[in-house]
Amino acid sequence: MRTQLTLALSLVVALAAAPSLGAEPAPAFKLIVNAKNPVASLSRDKAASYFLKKSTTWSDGAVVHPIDQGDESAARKAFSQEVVKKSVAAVKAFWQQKIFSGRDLPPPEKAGDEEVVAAVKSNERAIGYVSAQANVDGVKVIAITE
Amino acid sequence: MRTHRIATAIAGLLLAAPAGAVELADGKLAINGFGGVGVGLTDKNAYDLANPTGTRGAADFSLAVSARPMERLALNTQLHFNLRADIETPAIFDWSFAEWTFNDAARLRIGQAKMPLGIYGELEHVGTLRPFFSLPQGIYGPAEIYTQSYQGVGLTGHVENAAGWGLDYDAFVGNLFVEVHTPFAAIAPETGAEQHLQHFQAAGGRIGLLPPVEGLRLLASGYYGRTTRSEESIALGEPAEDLNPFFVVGGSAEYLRSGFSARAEYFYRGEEGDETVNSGYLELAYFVTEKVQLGARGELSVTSLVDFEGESPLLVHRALGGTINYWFTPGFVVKLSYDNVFGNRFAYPPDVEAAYAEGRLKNRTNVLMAGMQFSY
Repeated sequence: MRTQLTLALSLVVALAAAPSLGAEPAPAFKLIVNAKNPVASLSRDKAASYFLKKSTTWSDGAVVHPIDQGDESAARKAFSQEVVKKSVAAVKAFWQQKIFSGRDLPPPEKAGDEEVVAAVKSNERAIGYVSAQANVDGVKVIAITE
Repeated sequence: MRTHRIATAIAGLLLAAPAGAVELADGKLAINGFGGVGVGLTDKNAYDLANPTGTRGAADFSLAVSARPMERLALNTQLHFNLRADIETPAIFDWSFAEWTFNDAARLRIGQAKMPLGIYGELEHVGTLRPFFSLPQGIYGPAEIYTQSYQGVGLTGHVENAAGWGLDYDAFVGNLFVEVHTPFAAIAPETGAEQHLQHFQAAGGRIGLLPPVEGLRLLASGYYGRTTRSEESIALGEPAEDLNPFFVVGGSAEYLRSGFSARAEYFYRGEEGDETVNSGYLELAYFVTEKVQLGARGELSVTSLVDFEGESPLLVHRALGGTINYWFTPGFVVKLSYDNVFGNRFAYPPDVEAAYAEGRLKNRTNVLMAGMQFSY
């Protein structure tokens, strides 16, 4: 009896856990580019490289215009951790080094998804990220590959 | 009166600091700033920002302006204000240069640019990018190794491969100015004035290797130069002819990860027929809570003179120190540090020559420093 009860409980626990074990959690952000940009996907390294300005040109030679969100944005926190592989604070420190050594400026920061979408829509060379539930009409969502 | 006006202006800027960096024209113009106020006390000698009366101290502010008038053209300048009453020139340009980007691997710089030397070479006054209030004296102090900027032409760039390895490089040719402190006239009278400005014509650079290990950076940097006498040093009695060629070379390693930082550097300066300098340090820091950081640093610098054989505390600097910092934000920190210094290469009284001759020069100095530093 006790064995059957243990098995039943184990089954219930296993079934309850199944959805989270089987599926990759959906990213908390979408990477977007202008609708005219031919790029359909970017590797994680390349995307990070664009936002840290280590790479500054698209494959056709045009200059990339990355667009960030503010420090407190949930999309920025998720993008920093999952793509740049640094905390927002570490990214800020990286840009302090660049600014104060006269090497570069960080990407402009927009206040929220709507502003990022509008900026990407109006600039053929722009790339940005927005929260997963953002309205992305008029821009192209691209995939991030490993 | 002039200093008072500047101090008032800076006070206004300091009050404005929490508002954050100013960004105009959709990122084409940015204004950032940083600075700090600190005071230091010692039990004997004067050292860095500290002395026995606590009257040396530091109070400075810098304003960095970057403009991108064209996609490939950047104009950068940084104005440094020193608020100490005893400073004759309260405001100077740290650097001011134009940069043209050909591609990621090649950017041309013309003007007065920051000196690409070691880990901290371009960030001397930015206290929010390091654990200790002051930088290690054996490399970034008056050891004739580091100078703030070069006036000339430079090339810089970054490349990386598919395996995740990155390479940063800087190369430059131009003029350097370095403040020299040589407190060893008591053992080598021909070393000349105790403090003076030297002018170099130099060529050098830095290579940074970025392995595919997050937070790790390895650097090699140095320069080769020839010293020319400044009008100031000639006026102080030094001969007018140029000195021998010299070179500076060093290696640096930095690892930054999850609240932990480790930095180590070693530099050598050699000059034919004159002094050589060997300096190095190890600096560790860790955030024990989200806001509280502890740091420790050990440092060694040894100077050798051609005309002096034997040992003297005037040629040695050994320091062991610790710091405790409270970070209100990543851009605002309060620091309290203690250093135990042995040797008089960088720690000595104003009358060092007489103190040495009379046998009252103290070799060991305890240093306490406190201050706040900010950036935005």
